[in-house]
Formats: sequence, structure tokens, C-alpha cells
Amino acid sequence: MWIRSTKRSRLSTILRIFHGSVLFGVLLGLPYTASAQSAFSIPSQPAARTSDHDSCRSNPSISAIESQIPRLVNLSQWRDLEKAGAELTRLCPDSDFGYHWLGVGYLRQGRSFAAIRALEEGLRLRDDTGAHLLLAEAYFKLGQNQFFWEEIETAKRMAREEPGVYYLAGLYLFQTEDAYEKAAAWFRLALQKNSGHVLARCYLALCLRAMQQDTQAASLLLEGVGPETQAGAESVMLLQVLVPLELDLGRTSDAFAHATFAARLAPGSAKVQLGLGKAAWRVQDQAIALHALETAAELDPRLPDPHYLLGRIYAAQGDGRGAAEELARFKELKERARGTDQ
Amino acid sequence: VAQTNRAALFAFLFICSVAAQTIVQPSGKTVPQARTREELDAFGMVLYAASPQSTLKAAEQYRARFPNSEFLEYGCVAEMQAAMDLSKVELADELASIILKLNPNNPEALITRAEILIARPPGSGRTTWMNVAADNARTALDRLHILSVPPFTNSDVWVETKRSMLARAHRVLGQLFMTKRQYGDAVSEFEAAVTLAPSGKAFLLLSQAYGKTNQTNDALTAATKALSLGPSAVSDMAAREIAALKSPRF
Repeated sequence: MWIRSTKRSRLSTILRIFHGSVLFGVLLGLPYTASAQSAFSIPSQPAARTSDHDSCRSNPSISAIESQIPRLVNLSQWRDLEKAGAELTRLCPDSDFGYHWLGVGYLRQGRSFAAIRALEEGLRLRDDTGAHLLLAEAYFKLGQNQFFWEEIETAKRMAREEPGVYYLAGLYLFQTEDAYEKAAAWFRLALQKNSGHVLARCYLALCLRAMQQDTQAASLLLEGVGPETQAGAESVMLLQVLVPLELDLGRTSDAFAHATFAARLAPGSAKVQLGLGKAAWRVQDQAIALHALETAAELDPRLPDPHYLLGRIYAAQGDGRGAAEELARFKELKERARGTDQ
Repeated sequence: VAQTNRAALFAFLFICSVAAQTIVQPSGKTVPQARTREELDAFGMVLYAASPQSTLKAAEQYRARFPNSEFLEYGCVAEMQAAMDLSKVELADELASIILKLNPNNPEALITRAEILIARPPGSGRTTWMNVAADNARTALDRLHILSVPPFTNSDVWVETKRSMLARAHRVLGQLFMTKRQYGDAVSEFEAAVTLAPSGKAFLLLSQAYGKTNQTNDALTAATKALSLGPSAVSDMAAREIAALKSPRF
């Protein structure tokens, strides 16, 4: 057992920025950001086979279903993807690709057991690195240590240069074992394979922070962001980690500049607006802080933190009633997020 | 119901140590580990069986094949829930005993045991079974109150699951107070239950408790709510309750 430190709580908060759909969505190479696909180039579709099964795949009705798949994946329509995969397995029972998409559909709906069954069925028909990584993800979600590492090892053997393998291994160590040094080693390997792997860079920075190497973490993130003129949508994630780090390092004006930049890149992101609100509050720009925090609360009404900061700002402005309302809302949302609101 | 049960079960698989809110174990160390992929798959078959009947079948096979599985507690919970759905109360009670031997604090088993005791009280030892049921419900409440969202679990699903279990525990306590004719306490417990998870059954019980404390208007409101929420058996009883409340005696 270990005691959760304040530092760790902050890390967890930062981590939650990435946890969930974006995190695992990227495993499939989903276009959440411009570079996500290139950063995480796991094959998102099983390659065509040069066997009898090609004849099945060239069937027009099957081609029609297959042509729908990229759209379903891009729109995160997992139930429909599951249906498409099931239909493909019915039409082409000896081909792996139906099982592959069926597995992906199940996995994204949180049905890990069913996903494992479908993906393993697909692997019995054809070995595929992407399927092994998806299986690793499913075992990750079920917390199955041995099977997770077996899949990672297989994927590594099959595609040694695939950064996604190293990223997922690092993520597992980071999230389930808090083994920051070991996780950092895997994230570094992912970055060696592809220096543009944004998530590996973000998590490596978080590992460095956990190991009290904040300055190195900041340098790593700044290197990833690059010059403002060349920054793209993928920089937002790096900036989201960088801003609170710079605030902790006392580099408040840098944090404010980076938060402003992130808000320009992703004005519709509640977490980005929250970061801007925090940074603006620290440089005592109440007008920007208020606007950013109110925007954050509006964009994501379930986010507790904007209400806490709004409460503090209202209190500083002498608006006791407004402050009390915001703090009450913060408490309510915080407890709901922790599942302790009864 | 099956989905909620599954969600609860799945959530409980990932619950961290709850000695205190600020002390947790890394999740990887507390999640049960399957020894083979077949074992994990067999457990998955129990968890995601399509009907209570198929859950019972899958669970029976799973327990026979993997008696030492680290998932045994959760497999038994799924089987117990299926047994309750099929009104196989004796089997459910037997499974609750197995679960509580594996984990004396399993809230689902504690609440189910208490519900069974209330539904089918033993012929003798009234005080004893009532104390056991109350202890079970209170232990479940204590345990549930300190649980946070388990890792990898959707917080909304978790909150809903937790509220539903808390409501069941309060309902048990309310029913025990009713048996002991402590109607004011029963009202408090049923009010807590309907606040946490409004259900026809809880509103019907609340209506009866209000009736016993001469709060006729509140009793009518609660009965009307029970009538609309159902299910049909509850609606029928609520309709009779409303008729009785409107009768000259009130």
C-alpha cells in the first residue's frame, strides 16, 4: 500500500486528460488529431490476403460493408461496427477481417471478454500485429498481467519497429503498476521509433514528473511542441501537460502564453479552457480567467475544477454568494466524479 | 436489471483497497488474475450470459472447471443474481454463503442475504435473523459508502450501481423497522431509498410507512408514484394501497 501524495493526485488529474476515448482511440489510429495516425501507426485494417479468401473479399456485398468501416470508426459508431463485423463473419467465416472488426466493435463498447473471443478467432485464421495489440489492450482493460505481456511480446516480435507496442507497454506500467522508471524506458523506445508519437512524449513527461525531473519533462514537452508557427492540433495534448508543469515550476508567464496558444488551437476543449483559466488566474488576469473558466464549465458541465476556481475568483471579488454557489457545485461534481456522492 | 448487475460485478472486480479514501493500492495488484485464457473466457461467459438460465449453466460449468479461480467470488455473485432473478432463493442463499466465506464484506451478497431473510424469515429465532439482516445491511452500507469509482469504470455507471445497492440496503433496514413497528425510522430508511434510486417497490414501502405514521397525503403521493413506476405487481398493490388510503378509515 502507498499513500497518495499531492503530487500523485496532480499527476492523476493530468492523466485523466488523456484517459478514455482519446487514449484508446489512438490505438486504432483514429483521426482525433492530425498526427495521431502517423504517431501510432498500428494497422487499422487487416491487410488483404493473397489466398482463396480474396475471392470472398472481392464479393460486392462484402466490399460494400468494408467500405463503410472507416466511416464507422471515424464516427466512433461502435455498435454499428460490431454489426458490420458480425455480418462479415457470417458472409466470410473463414476470413479474419470480420472477426477483427467485430473485436474492435466489442472492445470500444467495453465488452472486453467478447472482444478477446473475436480477436482470437481472427488470429486463428491469420496472424496480425494489430490484432495482438488490440488483444493486449483488452487484457489491459481486464487487468490481466500475464496475457497482456504475452501479447506485447508477440506484437514486438512481429513488428519490432512499431512504436505503438512500446507505448502500450509503457502505459500499462504507468497506469497499473506506477512503475515510472520502467514505463519511461518503454516510452523512450516508442519515441526512438517515432519521435512524433505525441502520447508517448506526454506520458514520458508525466513519468519524469513522477520521478521529480520536472525540468527535463518541460524540455521534452517544449521540444515536442516546437515553434508556434509549425505547431498543429497534436500540440494541444503536449501543451495540456506543459501548462500545469510550468505553473508548478513557477514559470507563470510561459504557462499563460502556452495556455493561450492551446486555447487558440482548441477553443472548444473544456480542459484547455480550464488550463487557460488557471494560468490566467496565476498571472492575475481575472477577466481572461473568468471567461476561460466559465467557458470550460459551459463546454463540460461535469467538470468540477472550473467551479472551484470560479468560487475563488468570486470570493476575491467579494461576491460571497457566487463563491458559495460555485464551491457547492464543485463539491457536488467532485463527489459525483469519485462515485462518493451518497 | 442484467446490465446493472453486470456493471456492478464488473466494477467490483476493480475495486481498490478501501481502508481509507486516501490510501489505495495500484489496481494491477488487486485485480484477480486468471491462470489460463480458458479460465478468463469461462468467467466472461458467466458475466455476459444472455439470460439468467444461461448464467446459471455457465457458472456451474465455470465453478466445476476452475474451483480455485481468483474470479470465483464474482462468478458466484453473477450466479446468485441469476438465481434471484429466477426466484431460486435457496440456491441464491447457498451462493451468498459461499461468497461471504470468500469475502465477508461483499456488499451484493450481504444485501441479498438480508433480502432473503426478510422475504423468507426462518420459523424461529426472530430476534436473531432480524439482527443478522440488519448487520448485513449496515455492513453493506458502510462498505459501499467508502468506495470510489474503480479503475477502468465509467463513473456514471458506477454511481448508478452504487445508488441502487445503497437503496436496497436502506430498503432492508426500513422493512426491519416496519417489522419492529418503528415506523418513524422506517420512513427515514425508505425516504433514503427512494432518493437514491426511485423504484416502485421502494415508493410502495414508503407509502405503507407513511400510512402507519398517519401521514396520509404523503402516503397517497408515494403510492401514486409506485403505481406509475411499477412493475405490474407493485402497481396492483399500489392501487389497493391508494384505495385503502382513500377509504373512510383514513
